[in-house]
Amino acid sequence: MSSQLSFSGISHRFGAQEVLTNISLEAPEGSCVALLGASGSGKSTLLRIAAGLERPSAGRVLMDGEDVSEVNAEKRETALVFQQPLLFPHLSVVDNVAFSSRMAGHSRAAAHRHACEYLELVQLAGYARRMPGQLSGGQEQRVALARALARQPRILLLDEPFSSLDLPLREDMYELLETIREQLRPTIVLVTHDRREASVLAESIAVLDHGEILQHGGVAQLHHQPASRAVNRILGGLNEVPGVVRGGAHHSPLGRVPVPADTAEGPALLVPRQESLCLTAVEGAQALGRVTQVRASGAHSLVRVALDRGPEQDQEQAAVAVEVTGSPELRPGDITGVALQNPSGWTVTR
Amino acid sequence: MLTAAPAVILVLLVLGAALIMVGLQSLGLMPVFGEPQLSLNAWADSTSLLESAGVSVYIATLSTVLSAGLGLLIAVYALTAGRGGRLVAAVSAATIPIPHLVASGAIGLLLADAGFLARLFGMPEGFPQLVATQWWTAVILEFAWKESAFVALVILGSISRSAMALSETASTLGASAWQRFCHVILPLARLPLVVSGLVVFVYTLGSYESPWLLGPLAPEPLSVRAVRLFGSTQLSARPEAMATALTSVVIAVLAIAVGLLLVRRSGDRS
Repeated sequence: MSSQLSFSGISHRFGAQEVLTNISLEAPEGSCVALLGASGSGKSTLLRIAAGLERPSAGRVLMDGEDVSEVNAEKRETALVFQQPLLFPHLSVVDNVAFSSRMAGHSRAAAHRHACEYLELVQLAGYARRMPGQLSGGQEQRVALARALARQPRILLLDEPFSSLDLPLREDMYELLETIREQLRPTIVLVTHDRREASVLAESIAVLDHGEILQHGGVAQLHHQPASRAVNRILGGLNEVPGVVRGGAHHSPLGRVPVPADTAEGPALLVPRQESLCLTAVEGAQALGRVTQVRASGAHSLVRVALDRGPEQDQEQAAVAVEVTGSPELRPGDITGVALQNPSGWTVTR
Repeated sequence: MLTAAPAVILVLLVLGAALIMVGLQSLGLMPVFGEPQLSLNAWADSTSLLESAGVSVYIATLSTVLSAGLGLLIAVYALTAGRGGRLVAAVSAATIPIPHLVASGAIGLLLADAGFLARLFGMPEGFPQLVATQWWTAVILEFAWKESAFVALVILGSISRSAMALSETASTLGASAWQRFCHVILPLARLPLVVSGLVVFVYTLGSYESPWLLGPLAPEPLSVRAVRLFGSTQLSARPEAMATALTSVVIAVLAIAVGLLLVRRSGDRS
């Protein structure tokens, strides 16, 4: 059922505006790749090109190495689940799920039997005779997923399918998608602007910004080793500590932090994630600073600290955000120590 | 419900009063002169009345079918053909404000034996007779031209937001262009098609200008017969005019009832 999907040098224009620039990306067979970016970054356009709903201005779409750029959507063997369920309002749930089988020429009875298997998979077997208007938002999206899977696509394309659902329903859908992946092993390309969703569902994330892929890599790699400030920000990183890389370490108000050996020497920003920093006692602290803000966020709190200048005179003023569990007994103006939980750090220069 | 009451009461008052008067006049109970006397004389010439009713239903049915078909095609083209489609929709919509009287005159000048088209083709002997023919061709074409734009507009207004997205969904599920038309666009357009078709049928049933200008002298459709008898110098013809108008109303009411039944069934299914 699943295939490898590749984009090779895809560019796309809407009139004079270029929305995608030389995109090359691979989604290995059976994997889940997330396209993460803000609105207008071009991620949905890339998905529509994969589905055959848009023809790229340049470049090729390959499925298992075969160029399918000129193949129409109906013959491309992909299925797309949109942000809205887009169930056919004149068809019952089972007829919606049986739609692709009916279009392929199967009898109504055979198509219904086939559809019922997928309705069971999404735990909606008892809703087969209902009309779309009689379903909740979550149920509608499950039916949309079952309908797409019933097409038995080589590639399953998901365009922010859970963004209109509330949080508990979203968690249910994540679990459902996990079950589907275990049972059917489809290749999935997921478009989302939610970095948490991308991290939970995908093995790798391609970060898009203004029609370009800024970085494609594993979830941990993107979070802890971003290629640029933009990637760090899109992945929710709040810290950019200016300093200098010298002698295998980054020197900044956060102190001397070892960096990978191949890091170029010179000015660079240390990008420790807020979850990788911790607050320490003042005595013997790696770095000291003054608390500027404490903001509670559920079970966690975000503490912003303006770091003291280090011993080196040329160091710039820096501030960091530290995520701590619970509610710390700190107020703005308090002095605190700050330290990295990891022995080494990661820097970016752009 | 209560908020609609003032409008409903007003309509019922005007329509009810008019229909009661028409009914009474057709039965001789409200004569222009003389004593009221119950009489079925106005309904006596049932052959002529039935013939007129047949002609009216024939014109309205064909006009409705043609308008609905053309309107659906225009709407589908406007939805799927991008800029070209929008241009067609705009040109079609531009026909709506043209009065039927003007449109009928234009169609007459275009399709008559010595009209624009006949002259364009060098007035060949075989040029078909389209105006004042027993098949009411020019009348039906005029109605189809004008009303198809109305049908297209109603369909576009009802389904344009959902049709494209659902059509794209269908294509990702393996539906060809024809299958998308049959299994997505047509079912979505069914309700606005029935409703606008109903409006077109009732309108063309009662419309006077086009059949009067472009149709043969006989047989007369109900609308032309009613106006002729009403304007007759013989005031004794007035009850016959009212009987003719009332027949038109009865057919329209029956058409509306059948149409609403279809709409309700359509609603039940979806």
